[in-house]
Amino acid sequence: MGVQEVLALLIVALIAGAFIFRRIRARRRRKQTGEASVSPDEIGRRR
Amino acid sequence: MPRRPLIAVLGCPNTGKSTVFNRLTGLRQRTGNYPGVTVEKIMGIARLEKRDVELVDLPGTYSLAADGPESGITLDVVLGMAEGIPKPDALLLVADATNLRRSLYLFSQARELGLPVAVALNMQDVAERQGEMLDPVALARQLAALVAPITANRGKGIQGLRSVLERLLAGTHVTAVPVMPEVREAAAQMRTDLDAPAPEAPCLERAIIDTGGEFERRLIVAGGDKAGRLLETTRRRLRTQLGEASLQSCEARRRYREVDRWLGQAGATGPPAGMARAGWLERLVSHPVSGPIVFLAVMSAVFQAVFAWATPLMDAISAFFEGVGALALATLPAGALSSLLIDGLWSGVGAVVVFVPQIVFLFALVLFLEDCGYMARASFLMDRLLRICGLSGQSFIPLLSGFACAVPAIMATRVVGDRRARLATIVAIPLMTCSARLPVYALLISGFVPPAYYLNGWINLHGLILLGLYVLGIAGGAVSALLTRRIALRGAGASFFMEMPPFRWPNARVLALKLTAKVRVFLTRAGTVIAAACVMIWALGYFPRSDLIANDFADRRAEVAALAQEPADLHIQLRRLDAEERAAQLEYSLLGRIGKTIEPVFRPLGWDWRVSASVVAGFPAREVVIGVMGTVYALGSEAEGSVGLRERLRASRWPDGRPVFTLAMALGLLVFYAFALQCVSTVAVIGRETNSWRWAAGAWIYMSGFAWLAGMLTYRLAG
Repeated sequence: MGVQEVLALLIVALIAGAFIFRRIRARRRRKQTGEASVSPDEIGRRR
Repeated sequence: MPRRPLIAVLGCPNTGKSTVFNRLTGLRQRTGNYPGVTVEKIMGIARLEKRDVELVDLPGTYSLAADGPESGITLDVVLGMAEGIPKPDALLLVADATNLRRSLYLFSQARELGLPVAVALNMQDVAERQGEMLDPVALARQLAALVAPITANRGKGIQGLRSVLERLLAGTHVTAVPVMPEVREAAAQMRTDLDAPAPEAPCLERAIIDTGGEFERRLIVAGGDKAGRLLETTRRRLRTQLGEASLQSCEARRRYREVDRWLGQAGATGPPAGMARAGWLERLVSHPVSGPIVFLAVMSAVFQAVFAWATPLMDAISAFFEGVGALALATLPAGALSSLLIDGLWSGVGAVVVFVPQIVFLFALVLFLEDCGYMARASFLMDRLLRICGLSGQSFIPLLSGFACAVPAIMATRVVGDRRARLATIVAIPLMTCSARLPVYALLISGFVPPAYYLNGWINLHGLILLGLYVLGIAGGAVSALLTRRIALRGAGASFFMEMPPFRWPNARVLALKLTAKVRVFLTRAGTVIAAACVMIWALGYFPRSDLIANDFADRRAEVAALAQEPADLHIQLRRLDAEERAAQLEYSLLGRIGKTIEPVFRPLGWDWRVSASVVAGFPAREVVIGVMGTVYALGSEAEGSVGLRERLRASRWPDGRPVFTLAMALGLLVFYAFALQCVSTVAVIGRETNSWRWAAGAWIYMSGFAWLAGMLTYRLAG
């Protein structure tokens, strides 16, 4: 595998990592806000 | 630095609240979402006479009673409980001067919250024309609040409003006596009886009054069954004490009595304002016969305009992306990096950006129709039809938007108040024939359906099949909504309650501001997801590389170069070899292997591994499938939709020599595309808007399964 391929793979991994990181951070933030993280179907179930 | 004072802007829907907000803040605003719910958070900075203040635009509401987490936001913000927003220093209530009774009901609730409230008496021009002008000074005296008469869409009175806000922040404030003192006392008692941390007093009061509401739910979630039992006991005691069967009706009766007293003493006469405003236009658009005709004409015009106006711009954007891509291809050294940049990132971004013209035109026209007051009538007309599927008139605009693109359409379901109806609408929208399906339809219909004409050439088979696919989408959407409401989300539909706003000429500046915000949200939200997904698909289709294939093609190139006589001929042959090498590498790549692995799944639909891989690779966006097919069938992306690709598809054969693309297979593929949820942005938006990835996954599995079944049946029946 050449240098270009390795670099391309690194960039792809970086983008995937950033994407996953954003999701985790958003999830953590929603968890911290407590009530606001309740999803509509959870509300339906609780009712 | 001390923080700027914060003023929360609240009001009933259609009172011009956002127009007032835009007038005060101009471009100094930012949009976001309230955490965890799908309500847009819009904040901005307004310059008053002596200082800057921060404004927060709250969602339109008729009352502080909340039936869902979305409508609970108003009280959360006002009480300083919304994350990221400090407690406001004052409230600005935007009231419709032509329908004051309803706005003052909200005022009657807002003044009890312990914050100073000013009233912006909007739409003075319409009130003046209708002879419903009320003396603002007399009204201010009755309300014991500052009142600013304005006509926001023309910018009249905005300076006066700024000065009123300045005085509001500088003055002293006395909290109003509650209309329901019994409830306040009961809430105070409950606070002492509750073990769990008690919510803010106004939330507890709402929990007591609004049976089945958002604040009741929160109280029970926090305090458990004990809180629930305590709440029921308190309600029962209050109902006996007040001699009322319902606390909600008691509150409504008392507040309207208060509002009517204010209006009477401020000099209002006759029936409540806003009742008799039906002119000839109103009669035309709401009439049982002419209404649907006007509606069909308006909708046809909107669709024609969206397609006619957007196409040249979309072609231009597409050409720009292809041009820059080709330039980059010629400039950058060939290899993985340039392929990632051009085929992955650049094409990914282009795939999103190319839809911006359609989004802009569709939103501009829909916002225009909304702001001029027509959409409210259209929703009302469609209410009866949608009710059959368990939806209501509120679902109409989102469903209509689904014909252009499902992503903004799903975002538009925020207007649907009832949670169950909203989720059913979200499930139905991806089945509407979005514009991204059109290139696929066009390619397959023109390539594999024989041309035939009927009725002396007036009707052609290609057009009929296209129409059939649209009808199929609508029918699929209706069935999905119905099944969702009957199986997953059972329960009575919420009553559709909406106010008919007066017809008025929309303000261009306000339209432009709203449009900019919508496009920005579309680009950032869908753009990030789709661009990332395209890069992932690129990686799957590029890696791993086979040195064996590369060496073999290098030898073949050398052979061709040695034998070629004409330079032009050599160029064509080399390009063909390049394309064939790409196809061979793709077959070797992970995506190719996935295609081969999943081929048995799609074999009943008559697909070979190339079609299967293209459909899987087309998951980021439906139209991507054409580019992928171009590569898979050893043609570059420049051949998209052209005769070349069609000819290659026609020429593709199974190992035993039978053609892959037959009429039956093409029809099956068309039906598959009509039903399949082949769009990662739509799946992402469903996840975001329902705040639950289960709904997104469920919708994808259900639609893919249904599409497979329908595609297979079509292939078998037509074969």
